Amino acid sequence: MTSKSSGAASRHGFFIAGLRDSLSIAIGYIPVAISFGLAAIYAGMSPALALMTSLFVYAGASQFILLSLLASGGAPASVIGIVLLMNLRHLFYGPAVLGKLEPGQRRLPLPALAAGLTDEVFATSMARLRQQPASGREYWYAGLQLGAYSSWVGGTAIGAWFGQDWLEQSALLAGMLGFVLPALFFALLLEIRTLVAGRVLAGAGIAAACALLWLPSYAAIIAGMLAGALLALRFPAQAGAAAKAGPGQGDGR
Amino acid sequence: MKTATVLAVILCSGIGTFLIRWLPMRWQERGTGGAMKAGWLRRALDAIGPAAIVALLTVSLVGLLEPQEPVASALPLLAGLLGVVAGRRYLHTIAWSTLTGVLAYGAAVWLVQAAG
Repeated sequence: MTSKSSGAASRHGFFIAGLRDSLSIAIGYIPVAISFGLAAIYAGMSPALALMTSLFVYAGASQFILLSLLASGGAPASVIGIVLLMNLRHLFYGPAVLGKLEPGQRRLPLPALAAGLTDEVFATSMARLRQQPASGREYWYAGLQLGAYSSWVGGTAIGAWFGQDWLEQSALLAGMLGFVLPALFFALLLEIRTLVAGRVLAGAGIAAACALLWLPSYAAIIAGMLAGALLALRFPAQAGAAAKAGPGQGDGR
Repeated sequence: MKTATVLAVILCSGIGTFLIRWLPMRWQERGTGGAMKAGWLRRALDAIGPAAIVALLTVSLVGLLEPQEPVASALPLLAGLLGVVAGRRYLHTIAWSTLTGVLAYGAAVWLVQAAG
């Protein structure tokens, strides 16, 4: 009984830690989600439909594309096809996250682990999962997902119902919101830069930048990821890099 | 477009996105556990996360550069990135690093606008 209750308390603790760590994502999500809510209203969507988009699709950039395609009268089948094409990069995320969870320690159903796997949740998981004890990783990850999802949905609701007045009053604030996600990605990069060889990171960045010359941004992201994965086969991480980012070094939150 | 059609588009996009996230996990768990142990695949999957972060950063930064005003748009970006580094060095958390970066970016935008 005691071990059961202490196990539950421990799982609860990991879940809360994941929720707490989702704050860095929430700081990035809320302004963008508010912007999405605002854009949806401008595009003629009702606040309820804007909220449903964030509740069901939950994929930042492709939600903006969905909005603009709907507003410009795109055919439903082509809108759905383009949204899914944009999200194809997520195909690679699940196996990478699953590889960080101990198979014997898994209790949560896969759909629950997959539903909230956005770019930012994936990036934060890759940086932080190794720092969690194996027994608590999936609960930490569930907390991270729930915190990020709540901030995205909540931000959309604020934008759809309340945000318009705020942004109209401050152009500077509206401009600052545009830098939130790059700042988050750079902070994450500083956190995980030792996990792979520097050439892998440089190659991924160069590939994404070059791809942007010919391809849309979602395809450039895929190009960068694939280039990084291929380069990792040629340039393995330095010995000890994973240990540096492992438990006991968790000062990066 | 009718509300029912928009709702159908939203639901189909949501279901499709969920399947894109879920099915590869399911396939891996059911069938390719052995393949995951292969060193080359493990190395490639381990690198995808860091590579994705760099790619996302690159794409989002390029999106903020304005070709008509390269210096005026690049200076705030540089200030913002330095703000993240400073936040990381002195405040040690991703959330605060992000916030210091955004504040540095906002301050630089304001200065550039005031100077121009």
